Amino acid sequence: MNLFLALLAYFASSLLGYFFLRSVSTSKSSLSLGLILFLSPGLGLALTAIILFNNFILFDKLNRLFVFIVHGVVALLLILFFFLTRQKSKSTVPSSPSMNIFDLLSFVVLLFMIIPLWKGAHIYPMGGWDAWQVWNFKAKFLLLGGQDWKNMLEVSQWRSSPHYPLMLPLVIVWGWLWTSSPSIIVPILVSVMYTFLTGGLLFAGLRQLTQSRQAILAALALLSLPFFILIGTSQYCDVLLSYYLLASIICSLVAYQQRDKITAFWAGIFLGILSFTKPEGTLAAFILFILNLTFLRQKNLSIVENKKIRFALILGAFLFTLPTILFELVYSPGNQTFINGLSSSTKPSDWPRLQLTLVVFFATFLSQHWNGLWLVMLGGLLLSWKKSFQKNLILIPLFLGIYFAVIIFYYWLNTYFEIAWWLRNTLGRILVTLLPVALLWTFYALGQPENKEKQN
Amino acid sequence: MSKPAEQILSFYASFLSLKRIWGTVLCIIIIINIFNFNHSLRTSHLKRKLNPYLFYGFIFSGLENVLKDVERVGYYTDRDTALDETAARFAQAQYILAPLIVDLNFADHEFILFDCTSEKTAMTFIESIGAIPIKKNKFGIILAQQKK
Repeated sequence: MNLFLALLAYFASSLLGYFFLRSVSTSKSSLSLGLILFLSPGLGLALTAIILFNNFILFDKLNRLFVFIVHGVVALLLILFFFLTRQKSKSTVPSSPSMNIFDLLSFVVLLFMIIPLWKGAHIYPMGGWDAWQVWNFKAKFLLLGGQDWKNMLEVSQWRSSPHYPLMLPLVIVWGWLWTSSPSIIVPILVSVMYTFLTGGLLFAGLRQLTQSRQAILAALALLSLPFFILIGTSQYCDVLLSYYLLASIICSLVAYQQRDKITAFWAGIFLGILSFTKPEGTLAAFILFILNLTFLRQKNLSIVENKKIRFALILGAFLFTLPTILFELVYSPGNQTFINGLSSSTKPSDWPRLQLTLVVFFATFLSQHWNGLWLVMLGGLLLSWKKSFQKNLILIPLFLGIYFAVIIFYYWLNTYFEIAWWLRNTLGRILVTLLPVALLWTFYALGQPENKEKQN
Repeated sequence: MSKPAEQILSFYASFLSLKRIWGTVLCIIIIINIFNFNHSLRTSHLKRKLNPYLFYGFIFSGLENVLKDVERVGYYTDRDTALDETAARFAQAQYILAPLIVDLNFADHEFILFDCTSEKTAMTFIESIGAIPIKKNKFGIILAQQKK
């Protein structure tokens, strides 16, 4: 029964996302049905999290009635807006985009991948260590804490990283509101859902960008990797970060490819959501936002058109970064596990620390966790070397390069943790979050026709 | 070279392109991954049958009713706090008892949880600080109250 109720909760959120996506679409907006299907749940869950976060800002405790009423009102408004825009001018709103038989078959194959995900998620039904100590712990406070919910943000709770944004706990609370108790099935379902959606989004994104049938191979390579399944279904927030990062990059690439301001708006929105997942997500969102401001500018468009595209990106990002900004300004107690090694005399950022970080960083790519997948991707990129760095996808290598550099610098700078332990426990997870983007890069480069550069 | 021979060669060459070889390697990896994951799932389930899943936090259940209106509770253990297992017990106690705050600085609190290696050790310490045991759950966790 709890599973059914939780499914209902997340289906309702997905509908919010669907109508939001479809109602803002215009005839020029060019998201495929596959992308709409795999973006809707993520967008809807973000809307749900924002509604819940606003509830805590307004009432300082969980107000069930308010949350349900706002969901109902938002749903009604979006549906109304959707049908109004459809009636207003059938020519400006696209009729439902369709799927071909290959896409349908691929979708069925991907659906089958839910079985191993579901089974994998039950190996540790309470999730990994961080799942209950950081995420589900906060969700319990939000659900049951009443006005004391802010106790979870006390400095004394440093083990639970009180400075982490609240996206995942809020999504879990939404499921628990439907089951009426903190049932363990809800975080399990959330983790399976996001893991599956990430694979599906990778497939749909590649299909839209390249039309290549190899897109299904990329999704299967991701969803069959035991380490990705393990991290994805461990109820950590990393899989949310992975999903929203992929979503924002795919929307950016589609916006560039189609010269479409609406998709740039979605890219901005997903960047905003990404910033609300984890501090690494905030960092990734910031890097991508800055890169996108340059990336989305196209020579063959007028200054006005270029401005419109960038304005759409900025607007989407601004609206959906507000929860992160509010959280950081009002609620976050700051990072309690940070020592600036550059100014610390007792724990300095020394050369051996950087050396070890670099060695472990490169060695992690060769770890048996990946079963050679990073090497195969490297092979794929070498096969399409020139295309890998073409202008239409330069965003990905630039992002990965800057992100890796900042992460390595942070490992060196923050000397709070013993470096070997820290790298052992976190670096693999960081690479997992980037794996879908790396697969997107490889397959997009391989799937491009030879004259793609000329087209752009 | 004759035309049929050229056709045969180009037919095989199309199969031996680097991209196709790359795709084949990837397919092999996917298949190996699926088999590996299936194998590790079966192994995990078999292990679970022999050693059921243990979440230390459950040993702190059964005290919620007594602590219903309490916001904070102290936590005392005589175990080695440097061990991962002890850290896990404390962290999982915090998770299970949330939204109650569990504090390692037990002396400051009216209510204290005693998670000791033996009941005798716990009772000796409870007496030494002048607290009164008010509830013991079926896992041996004792809740004591001291005057504040």
